[in-house]
Amino acid sequence: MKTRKRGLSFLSPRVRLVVVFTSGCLYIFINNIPGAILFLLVGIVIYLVGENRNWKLVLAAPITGAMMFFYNVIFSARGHGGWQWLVFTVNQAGFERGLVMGTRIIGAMLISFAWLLSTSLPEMYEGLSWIKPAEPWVLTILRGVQIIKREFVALTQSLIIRGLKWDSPIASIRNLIPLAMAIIPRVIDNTQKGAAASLSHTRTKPEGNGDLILNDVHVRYSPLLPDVLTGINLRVDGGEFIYLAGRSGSGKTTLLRVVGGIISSIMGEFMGSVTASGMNTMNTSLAKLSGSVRYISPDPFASFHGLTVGQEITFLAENEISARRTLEIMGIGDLWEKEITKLSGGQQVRLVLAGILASTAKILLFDSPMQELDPQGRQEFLSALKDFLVQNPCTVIIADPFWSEIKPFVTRVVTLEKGTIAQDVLPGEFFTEEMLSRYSLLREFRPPMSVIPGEIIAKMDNVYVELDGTAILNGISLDLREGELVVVMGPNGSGKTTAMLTLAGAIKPIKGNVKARGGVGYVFQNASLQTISMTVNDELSFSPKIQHWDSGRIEAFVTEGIDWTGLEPLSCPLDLHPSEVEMLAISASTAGIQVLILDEPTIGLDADGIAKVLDLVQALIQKGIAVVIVTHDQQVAKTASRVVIINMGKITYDGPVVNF
Amino acid sequence: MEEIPMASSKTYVARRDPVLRYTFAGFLAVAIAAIGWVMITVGSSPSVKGASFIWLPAALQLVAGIWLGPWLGAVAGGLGAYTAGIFAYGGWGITDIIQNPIAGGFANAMLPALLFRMLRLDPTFGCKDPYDVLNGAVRVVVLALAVMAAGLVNIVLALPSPWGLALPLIVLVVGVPVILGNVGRNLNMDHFVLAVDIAVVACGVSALIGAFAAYVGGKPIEAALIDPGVGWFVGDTVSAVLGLFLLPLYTLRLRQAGIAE
Repeated sequence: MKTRKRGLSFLSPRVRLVVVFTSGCLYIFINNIPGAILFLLVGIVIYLVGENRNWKLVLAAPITGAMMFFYNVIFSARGHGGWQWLVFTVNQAGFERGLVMGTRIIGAMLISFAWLLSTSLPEMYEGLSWIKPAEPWVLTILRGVQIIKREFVALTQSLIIRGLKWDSPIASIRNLIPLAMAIIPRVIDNTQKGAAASLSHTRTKPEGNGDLILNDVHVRYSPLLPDVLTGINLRVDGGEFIYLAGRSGSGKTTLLRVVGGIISSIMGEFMGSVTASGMNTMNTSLAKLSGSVRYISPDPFASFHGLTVGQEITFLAENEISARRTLEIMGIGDLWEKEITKLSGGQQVRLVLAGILASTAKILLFDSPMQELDPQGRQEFLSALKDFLVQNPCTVIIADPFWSEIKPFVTRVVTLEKGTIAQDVLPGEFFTEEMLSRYSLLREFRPPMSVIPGEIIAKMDNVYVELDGTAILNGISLDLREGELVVVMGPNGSGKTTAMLTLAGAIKPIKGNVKARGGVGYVFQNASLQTISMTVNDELSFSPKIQHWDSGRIEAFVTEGIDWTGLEPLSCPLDLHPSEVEMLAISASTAGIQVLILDEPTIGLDADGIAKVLDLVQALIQKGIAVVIVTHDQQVAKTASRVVIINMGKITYDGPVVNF
Repeated sequence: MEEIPMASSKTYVARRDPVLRYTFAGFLAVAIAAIGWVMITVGSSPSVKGASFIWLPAALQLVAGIWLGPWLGAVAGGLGAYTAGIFAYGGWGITDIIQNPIAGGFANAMLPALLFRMLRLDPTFGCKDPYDVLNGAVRVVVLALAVMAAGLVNIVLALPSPWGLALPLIVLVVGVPVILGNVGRNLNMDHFVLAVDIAVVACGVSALIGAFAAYVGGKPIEAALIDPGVGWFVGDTVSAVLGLFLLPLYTLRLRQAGIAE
């Protein structure tokens, strides 16, 4: 049922903008008490009849007005008589001026707040996009708002979890400094992703037939860093389906980036030549190349350019019918008007994949597309890809650990070892136990870890959480015991991450209690969102410093972390491979904790990496630390003694893995 | 489209798309707006809404100009400040346009960028550890405050004109080795001191523009120079010094990314 629009929402976004801009410009010309009171009344009415009201926000208006009144009264203009003391003067003229200024600013603020609360980012875009020369800027900035908001939220949560206190206004201001410093690397990182997204959403006609020729290609990300790819020679005919294999850090992502033109339009530098679908990538703009060659990054949120699902898919599809059809195929047809920021991780992946299905590209480059999808999502994606390839035959290169599900499509396998092509073979030669083990694609069976649960150290009691007005958790109750390994599972968008962030203290529940004895460490699903330092050393020592450890203990913790991750102490987290960032985040999160939460820790890791993480988990539970793993990975689930299933914000199962 | 003669490059080539720099400017504007929103809300002058006394975004505005160049820096710094004002207190109007995008864009971002280029300053200050910049900047500000305080002492002492300068001069001569100490060993001091001067000048100009905005808003110019003028100048200067710290920390990375000039 459609709700009736009220207040400023009743007006179109453009008219709303005109109203608020005009009131903001005109209010300084209101210089008498009746005019100011009238303006205030208008502001109150507009605010009160609006659909959304935020009383915390609106409190700023009377406080501002009162301060302005008070200040003008005590600093009344001299020469009008009245009471004087030192620099203070109080007289009738100052009183009247204060009344006018205080009243009119409250009116202006109320109108502006009514606009803010009634206008979503897509509506702001609608309101401003008619100024055509400014339209790309408007979209970039509003998309930037979504991205920077995500970064601010993630960094703030990361800082809270790692022990920074936000318990007073002074602390909040003080904490802005590390936040502001940490945001710059994130802005750089997102600029690269955002620019790539923007350019790849330019609708250009596809060219060529999907052939691909790489001739002696060398790639590096900086002259200061070693080459990631060396001497790559590869020829692919249009219509081939290539599975790209290699251990973590072997250069798979870099190879896909250089073919997709991301290197060097957005990052890195290369030597040699790449010809994709008849275009030399060095001479072709990324915007033009994207019409024929589409690179799908492993970070779905950063791949978007639109503000809503509908806008995003419309950028890529030929028409609205095609756009809606692809959304239906990916099972998100009912999300057309939903803001990108309100999608769960799994829904975001589905939208990215819908965008690919809507395109008419000749070469598709998939970088771990299925890692964040639940089993049903993976099936739907592969089924949709199959249909897509029938309608639009094209070249596909895919790197993804779910090789068994991709196997039926594969016509050729290319493997990478230390930045060079090691094997170029037929599927039958590759999908053998020996080869799969060699490329860390075959995971060893791990029996359930032996645990001896102790006392309860963390507890969620009937917890309810709402985010942006949407109920996410509906009464979650969960106990964690010392030395226990719990796996949390559930479909995409069910509330698993929100539940665990609430347990870690990064999200406040609207109802219910959360208690934890000792620190709770948390490793985000996308670990790069939580790094805040410019070196591995600083990242590892951040939490211990906040917890005021002595220097010897800090040094020991950092050394242990460096040994475990195998990283260079002075290397920058931004330069690391996603799997290395994951390892760094895990190591940094173990400082002074009693509970460790790992959100999808297997994403981006090869079999060796997963084994290393599970070895660490085993060591932690033996020390009495409770470990929670949020995962879709059935094999990881089988290593736990207890599984918790969350669906629609509620726990639907909590018990032994054997019964699950 | 620029043609590159070689189909196959024998040396490493990085050919960045201009969209990268525009996107960075847009995202930096958003970061300025977000931090500015908080600063205006908690640190605004009671008489001139929007004139924040703790304008931390001045740090980002300064680096925006130096990294992105005067014009793109001015767009990022100005748009960010204007948006912060709109979100914090409905600052859409004439005075807000003067004190947010004009002061923030042209004085805080564009002016330092122009001066850095004119004087050919190295934004990394040749330092190995960026914390040397923070350390140096704090010491320079302390020295400046000590010299200013010595000058103000003459209000009480009322020494005749040439002798009135003696005390600040003594503080300066003694203060340089004592307060600045070994900072010069870790930094290119010529570039660093000029950079601090530029930050102070830019914040001074920004404060003057802010005072003018208050005057346009109906405040007598003498009162406007004191409030918001003085608070604006001090708050922006402290933040701009933080910006100097960000320069050696991130400039090389931004150059490597093809974003900074």
